[in-house]
Amino acid sequence: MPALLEIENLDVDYFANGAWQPAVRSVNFELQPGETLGLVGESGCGKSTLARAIMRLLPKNGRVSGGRVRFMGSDLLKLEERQLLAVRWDEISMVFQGAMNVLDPVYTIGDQIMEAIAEHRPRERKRDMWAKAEQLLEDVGIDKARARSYPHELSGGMRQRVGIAMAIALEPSLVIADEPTTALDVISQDNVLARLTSVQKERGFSMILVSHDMGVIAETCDRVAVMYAGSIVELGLVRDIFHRPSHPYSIGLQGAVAHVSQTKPAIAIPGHPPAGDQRDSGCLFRQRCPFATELCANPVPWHEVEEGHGLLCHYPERREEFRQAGALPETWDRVAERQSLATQAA
Amino acid sequence: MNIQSVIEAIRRDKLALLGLFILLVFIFIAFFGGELAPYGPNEIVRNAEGRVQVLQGPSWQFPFGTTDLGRDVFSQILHGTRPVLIVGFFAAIIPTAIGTLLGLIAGYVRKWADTLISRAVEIAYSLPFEPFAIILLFVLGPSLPTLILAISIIDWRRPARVVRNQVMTLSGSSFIKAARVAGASTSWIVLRHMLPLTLPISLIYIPFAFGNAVLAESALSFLGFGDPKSVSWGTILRQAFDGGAMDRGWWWMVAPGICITAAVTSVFFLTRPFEELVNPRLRRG
Amino acid sequence: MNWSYLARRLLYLVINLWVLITIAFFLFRLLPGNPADFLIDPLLTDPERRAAVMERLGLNDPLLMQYLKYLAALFQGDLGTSFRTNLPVTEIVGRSFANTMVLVVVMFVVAYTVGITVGAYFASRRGALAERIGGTLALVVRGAPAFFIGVLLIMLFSAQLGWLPSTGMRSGNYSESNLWAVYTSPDFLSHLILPVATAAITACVAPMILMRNTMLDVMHSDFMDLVEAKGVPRRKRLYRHGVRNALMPLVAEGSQFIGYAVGGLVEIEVVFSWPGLGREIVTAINTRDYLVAQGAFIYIGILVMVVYFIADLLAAALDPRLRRSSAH
Repeated sequence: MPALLEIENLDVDYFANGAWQPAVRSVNFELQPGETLGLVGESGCGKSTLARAIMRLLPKNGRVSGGRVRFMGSDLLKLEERQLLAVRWDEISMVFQGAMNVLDPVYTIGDQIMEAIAEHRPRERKRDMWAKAEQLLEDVGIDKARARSYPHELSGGMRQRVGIAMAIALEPSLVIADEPTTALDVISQDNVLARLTSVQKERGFSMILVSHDMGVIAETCDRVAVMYAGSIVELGLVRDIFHRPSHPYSIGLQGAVAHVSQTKPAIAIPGHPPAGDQRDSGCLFRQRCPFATELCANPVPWHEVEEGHGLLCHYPERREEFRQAGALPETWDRVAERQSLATQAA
Repeated sequence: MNIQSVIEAIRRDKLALLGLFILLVFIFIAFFGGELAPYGPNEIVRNAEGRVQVLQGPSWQFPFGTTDLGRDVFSQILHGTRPVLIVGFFAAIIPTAIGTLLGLIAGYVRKWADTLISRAVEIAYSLPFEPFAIILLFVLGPSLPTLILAISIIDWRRPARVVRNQVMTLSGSSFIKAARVAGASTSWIVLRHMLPLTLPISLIYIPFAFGNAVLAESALSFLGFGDPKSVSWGTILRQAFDGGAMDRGWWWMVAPGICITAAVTSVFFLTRPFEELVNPRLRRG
Repeated sequence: MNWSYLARRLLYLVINLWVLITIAFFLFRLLPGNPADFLIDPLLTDPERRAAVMERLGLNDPLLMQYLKYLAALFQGDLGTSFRTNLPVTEIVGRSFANTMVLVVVMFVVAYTVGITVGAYFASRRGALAERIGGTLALVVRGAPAFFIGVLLIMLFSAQLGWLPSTGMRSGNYSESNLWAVYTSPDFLSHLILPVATAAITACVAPMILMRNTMLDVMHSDFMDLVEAKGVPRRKRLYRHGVRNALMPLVAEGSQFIGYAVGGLVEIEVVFSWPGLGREIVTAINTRDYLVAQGAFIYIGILVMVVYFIADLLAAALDPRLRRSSAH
């Protein structure tokens, strides 16, 4: 069965400080119908950029500089404006982060949902579209009488759910959710997430969920791609990555999340990711990696370590050893020491 | 925003450089125009035979032609530069300073001070400038200082409002709260923290105030309420208008008008790069 | 309909009106010499008759008393009598009010329509040659005094081309049956064109620049991303969402230009000899007909306030946030 979405060697750049800088490099993955893929990583790792690039929603200072985005067989990057507008929302839709601001303040939420429908189904009658909008609101747990409300009259959680209702209005095959719960309080987060997953189960669309919160990814996704400094450093089934993290970054991330049951303190990975203009062709994690060697300054190959589980590292065979060492705080303390020595020497 | 970026911004924008150049020329003339002018402002010029040079078109001797009474327009304009710039300068600085101060007080102290000052601002906005200024000037007697006063009484409203809003936004920021908790007094906070932050906005307003002041002074002079002791550009225009320049001597009308436009537009050009500095969305491309 | 908002705006209107009237009262009393002088015709020099008039008008009363009498008279619609024509000030000024009103209304409609449309156009073409030239031109126009533009227009269209009349509101020998016909006759309209053009040209620049800036802000707002993602084409985005959202801050901020624009009418009326409030004030002052000047000043102030009030209502109508009582 052909994959719904195939990303091949995707490169994305941003223009900053007078030059084009890499934001995303050599991203490859596939997405099957009905599957949920998580994109996880810290701020600035490029996950949101990647999500937007798929829909060609990059800002004026961003561009796709290489690769292919094949959706149902055709390359989205090569589509004409008219075709792109038709595909948007009808086949691929997006749930945005911080829905407080993504709804137009001067139109009612019913009108805005209707706009999505009207844009792609021009033949439908207004009455039917409004009824559909009300139905969608009910599907996400909002009373349909609120369709006449303005965005500022709704709470943050409700607005986010409106975003979901809008995203599923045309029964798309793929929904990209960019940090859908980040801007909400904890309780609303739960609600929205639950709503999102139940709606997905009902309608069976594929989903790409972008988040920096590992917990959210663990709850909702089938597979996960760990991103760092613009590249995917590990990709696999959620349970594989959680039980057997193989890339030193994923290993560090795991240790960074403190579990209630644990008695040892959480780990913090010392240092920070390289900025756009400091990225070379070697492993971009080597400054912070406890196991880095001189080899790591060379371009890094992708290795499959088990079925459907791969990583970007020079030493995939030593992953077991890394996992054990990585669980100990001392391993990371050595990295911190190494970094401070390096800054002193400079 | 520092001196470096300011100079850089101006250098890059050609129009800003043009504006700066024009402004400097006018400032130079304001200082030395009186001496440089070939004739006096009210001097009636006769030619070799003693005939009054009435309504002569532009020529080498009279670059901007002459009036219906035989006066040299070019000289009049040179003489008129100083009063115009004096009013422009002072009627820009004074209301900006007052407005900034009131805005600071209104924004920080709030409560009764804010209500009072904001109401005053609103009233200042609803008073139509020219009618008010005309009556005031008539009552006080037109002169350069009263012109400056009339303009200042109205023009403080915009900096006051803008500074007040800025201060109110800043008051909520963490470092101000921290300063308050640390025990800093109100006046200390206002002077030490707020003022430096609102200064850029005030300073940017000064060129606009200058432009407004020059336009206001010309309008008032044109209407006959300018300083009777000097021949400002607005006065020249009035004399031209009354003297039938529209039919008989277009140069008499056009020259001073262009000077006013040039003086005001030059400051607009000069401040354009700052507009982009303050609001990044306006940057091109 | 948010009644508390409306009530508050009305209250402010009343307060501002009261302050305006009070300022008018005190302005003339700043005259050097006996402050009460201004109520008496300066040409009346006979001291006995002066004293009699002063007594009659209650000018020997304490200031507060005079102020209260003044307010009382105003409430009854009495603004005094003109020294020159002996007609009630209200009658003279009332006619001028209507004439200025025509100018104001047409000016605002033209200026804001042009300003908004062109401003939106410039925003969509940011960086292109047309926008750069247009922007520069706008600044130059903004820097030109209104009376100068008027004069230039006269020189071009009247003196040179002879297409349009240059003074007055109508030609000497008009006769129309009713009010409507008066204001729509071709003769009137031909006299209206140049003054309105002058006023609109000067008044349209500020809203144009403001609209461009507001549109740029709006087009980069977060919600625009969603609209684009929904597959809405560019032009619809610009007008349905961009302009609609830009209108609200535009009206809110655009109202600060009202006072400036109406004030500028004084020069224009003088240049074109348009029989409105502005020209009335200038002539009244020059002929020492103080009561007429005072009346005209008050009427202009009222005009400005009314326009402001309408702008406020417009802002409320456009912004759903202000309409419902939930707001603050």
